[in-house]
Parts: sequence; C-alpha cells; structure tokens
Amino acid sequence: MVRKARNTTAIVTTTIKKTNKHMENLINELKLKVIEALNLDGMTPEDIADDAPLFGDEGLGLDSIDVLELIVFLEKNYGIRLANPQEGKQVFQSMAVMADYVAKHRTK
Amino acid sequence: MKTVQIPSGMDLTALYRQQMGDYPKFFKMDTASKLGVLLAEMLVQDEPDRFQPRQDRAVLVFSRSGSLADDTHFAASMEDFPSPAHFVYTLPNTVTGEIAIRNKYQGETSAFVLEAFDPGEVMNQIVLAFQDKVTRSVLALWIDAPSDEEWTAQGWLIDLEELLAPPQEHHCCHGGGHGGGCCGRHHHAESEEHHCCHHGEEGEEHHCCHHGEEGEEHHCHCHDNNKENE
Repeated sequence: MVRKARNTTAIVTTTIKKTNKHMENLINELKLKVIEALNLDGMTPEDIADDAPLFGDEGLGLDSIDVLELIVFLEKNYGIRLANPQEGKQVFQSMAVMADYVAKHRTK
Repeated sequence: MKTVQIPSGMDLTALYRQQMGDYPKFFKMDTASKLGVLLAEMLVQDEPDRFQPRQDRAVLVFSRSGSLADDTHFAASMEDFPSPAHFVYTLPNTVTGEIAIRNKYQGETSAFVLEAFDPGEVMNQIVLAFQDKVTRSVLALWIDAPSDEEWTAQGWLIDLEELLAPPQEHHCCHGGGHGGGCCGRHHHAESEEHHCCHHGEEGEEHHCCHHGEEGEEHHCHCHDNNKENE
C-alpha cells in the first residue's frame, strides 16, 4: 500500500516536471517567435520575463497594433483563430499566459 | 545649444542599453525612430524633471529618406501578410511621435522631408517654431536612414533664451567689481587681457567696456538709466 502510494507520488512528480519542462520550452519558443514576428530587433528571450505584461510601459510595450500582429502569428504558427481582438488582450497578458493558451488550443 | 550625433552603423541596441535600458518599446521601432529616440535621450537625459509633461518644447525632425527603410520592409511583408508592426512606421513623422511619447512632450511636432541637408531651412523652421508664444525650446533632429545599416543622425537642443542672448564672440566676464559675476559685451583686441563686468539689474541698461592691459586694474563702466557707475 505504502509502496503503491510512493509510486503514484513519483509518477505525479515526474509528470509535473515533464509538464513544467514542456511549458518552459514552449515559453522560450514563443519568445523567440514573437521577437521575430514583431521585429523586436536586438531583443533577446532573456529580456522578457515569463510573467511580465506584454502591453503597457512596464512590460514589452506592445499596443493594439501588435495585437493584430499576434493574432496573425497564432494562426500561422499554431492554427489558432482568434476572431475577436478583445479576446486577444486576455490571451496576450504575458508569455506564460499565452503559452498556456497555445498548449490548450493549438491545432498544429 | 547642445549637439549630439550617432555615427552610421553603430550598434543601436548597445547604445540603447547604455543610454536608456528602461524602455522596451524601443525594440519595436524602425531604425529612424530608434535614432530619434536615442538622440533625444542623449540631449535631455540630464534635465531635471525630464518626464514632467510639457508643452513648451517642439520636436522638429528633418530627413531626406523619410520612412523609406521601413516602407521597404512593409512592402516585402505584403507578399505574405502585410505586417501591422511595420505599417505603423511607414510615415516620416512617426519618429516625432515616438520622441513626444517617451518624453511626455505635448507641444508642436513636425517632420520635414528635404532634398538634402539644408542648415538654412533647418534654422528657418526652428525660428518659426518659436513664433507661437508657447515654444521655449526646440529639439531639432536630422535623421536620414535610407537603410537599417547606414544613416546620418544629428540632433540639436536650442532654447529660446539662447537665441535671444547676446552673441558669445564678444563676451567677457569678471568676478569682481560691481557685485561681481556678471557679463557684458566687450570687443577686445587680440592677445589683450580683457575683463569687463557689470551686475545687470532687471530693467537696467547695462554696458561695460574696458580694454584691460596686463597688470592693469580692471574697471567697469556701467550705464544705469544714464547714470554711469564705476
């Protein structure tokens, strides 16, 4: 009984680690692709904190025009169609939020 | 007048990290806007209260190529999907807006596309900018970036008080005398020791002249409502 519980814990821990690693990779991939898509010339993934807001002066400094660019970006790269730009503002809160959305909705 | 320039081909990201480092929107900009924001930064970064909104500073940008470099990028993007990120920089006056946003300038902004750098026309527009009774300072920039690799970029910060001040060639100062630490105009001979001073009071006519010889006591002759002081 105790051994079974230990095995379950180990499996859960491994799964969490794998999921975290997967998300980490996806966030890094998104950072690189967003830098390219938005022509953020000279910026590196290290310049973007996972949870930093993408819009406004405190974060990446993106604006409503960039939302359009990111909507196109999601469709081209991950097959995700966002019909409403307002929905985009929710999805593009931060790299971590965007990665979570992509992981759940991607079709390619 | 303060002057700065950014040599062609310089690493603008490195310059940004050195001069600013706290404005991620910089990375989004086209080359002309990056040059404009950096030139402005180098000219005003030491000013006190620099991020207080102000209406008395005009931003004038002069160029030959305008937004040509970004126009080219946008045209290329149209083969796939027209890029909104490029589209927003396809106007020569975008750089004036970027500078105004960064520095919270709410005054006049203008962009001029000239056939070539024309100092007379630049000066003419600077003088015109001061005619509105609001503008007390002009940030004037020559930014010509036909590509992302090559450009000429130079900036000047001119205050109205400087333009109205007496010419500097015949300027002389002296720490002593009537109240000390004042300046007047003095036409001096070459290699001559020259000091002339007067502490001008508000509303007072003040002129002082003296051809000081070496070892000689310096004197100031000042006119105060037709009364001469010495």
